[in-house]
Amino acid sequence: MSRRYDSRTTIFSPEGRLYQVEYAMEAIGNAGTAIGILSKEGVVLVGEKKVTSKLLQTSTSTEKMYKIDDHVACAVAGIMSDANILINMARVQAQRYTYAYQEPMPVEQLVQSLCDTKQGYTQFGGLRPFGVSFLFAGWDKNFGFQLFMSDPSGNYGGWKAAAIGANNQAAQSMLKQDYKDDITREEAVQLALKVLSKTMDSTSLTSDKLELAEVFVLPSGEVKYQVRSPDSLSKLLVKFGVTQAPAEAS
Amino acid sequence: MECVFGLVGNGFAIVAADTSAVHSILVHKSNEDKIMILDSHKLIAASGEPGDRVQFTEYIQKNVALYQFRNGIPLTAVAAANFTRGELATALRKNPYFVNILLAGYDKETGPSLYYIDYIATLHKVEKGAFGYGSYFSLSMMDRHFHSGMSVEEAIDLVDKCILEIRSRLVVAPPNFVIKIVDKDGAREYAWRESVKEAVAV
Repeated sequence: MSRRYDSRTTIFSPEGRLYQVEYAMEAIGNAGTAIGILSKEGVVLVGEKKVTSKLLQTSTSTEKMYKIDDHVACAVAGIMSDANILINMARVQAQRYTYAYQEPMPVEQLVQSLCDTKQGYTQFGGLRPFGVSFLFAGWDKNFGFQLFMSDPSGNYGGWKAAAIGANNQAAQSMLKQDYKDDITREEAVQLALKVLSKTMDSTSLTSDKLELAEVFVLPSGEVKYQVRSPDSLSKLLVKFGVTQAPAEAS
Repeated sequence: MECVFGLVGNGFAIVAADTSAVHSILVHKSNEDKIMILDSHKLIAASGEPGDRVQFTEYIQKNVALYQFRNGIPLTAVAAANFTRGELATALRKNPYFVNILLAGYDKETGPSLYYIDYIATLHKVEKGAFGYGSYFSLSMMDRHFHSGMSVEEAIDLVDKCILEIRSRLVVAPPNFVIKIVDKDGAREYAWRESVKEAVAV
């Protein structure tokens, strides 16, 4: 096709497309799915882990979920090393804002600043775009709980429920069917796990194949980001019936 | 000899500033407004080097406006105060601004507030504050008569007491003052206190 327009990231093809950006999105289509759902009482993020091994130190490291600031977290899909750069940028931006204004950075402003950076890589510099999509979950005093999705082009949108990574279109249409505006926090967790289990290739979910995190407000008014422990996650999977009961020892 | 002072009352914050523009022994004008309306619910009363005063306060005003245009929401008073302090701090060890500021604001969630920001980037949230030689008199008057949650009438009465004290006790006291208020209905001019009228060309 128009291969001669591929090698430079910062030019349009004759059809008006940015191929490098599209190829970046292809790379993300091979990554583990991540789903985010907004409820009245919080935002839930679930992610499918691609690296599953008993040797992984799950208590200290996460593969899909990252905390940006006390009131904002994100789920990633795509090239992990690219994601790390952007996550660090987001963290610096959030602290820079708090340094200047002594207040937490509004969620949309954080997403916007990160997306402005991503956009730069599609317009000048000759460097390839970042091969990462994000789901940002956060709370601020202006708009309460918010969920944003951003992609390599630097576009972003606010969502009630969104999916990125492998099978994201299937997940998105399932979310569209089952989401309701007054969903509670627990129902959102249930829906997220249900949709993820349907879109994942494996037949049964176990807690070592997933990560689940929530952003919610404690009774004290403080915003909390919490990643579920593997045990707590296993219990949830059993409770919502998305996992097979452990096999009987023969 | 510039006098700026202010206080927080019940659901409002009030600031007063003298209105003399002085160069050495000459009074250029006596109706110079030194209290800038920063946005709908914030006031900046500034004193200090005349060029810096206007330059710096306009810079802050435009940045506050830019934030609102970019983000669709206004800055809170505390955020604006910290931003202002940050700009003074950054410039301090390069080319400092010689401007002292009292920032009065009103936020729906937190009510009225007053911030004392001096030219070397000190920031304090206060209930009453003052700058200049006049502060010796206005702070003493406020220490004597101020209490939390004053009404507008009581606060204006206290402001007038301070102005009277400055006029009678400060050598080369400024003759005229402007008083501005900020409350839930916004930032606006409240009154002028003139003892010498600026001559108007006929």
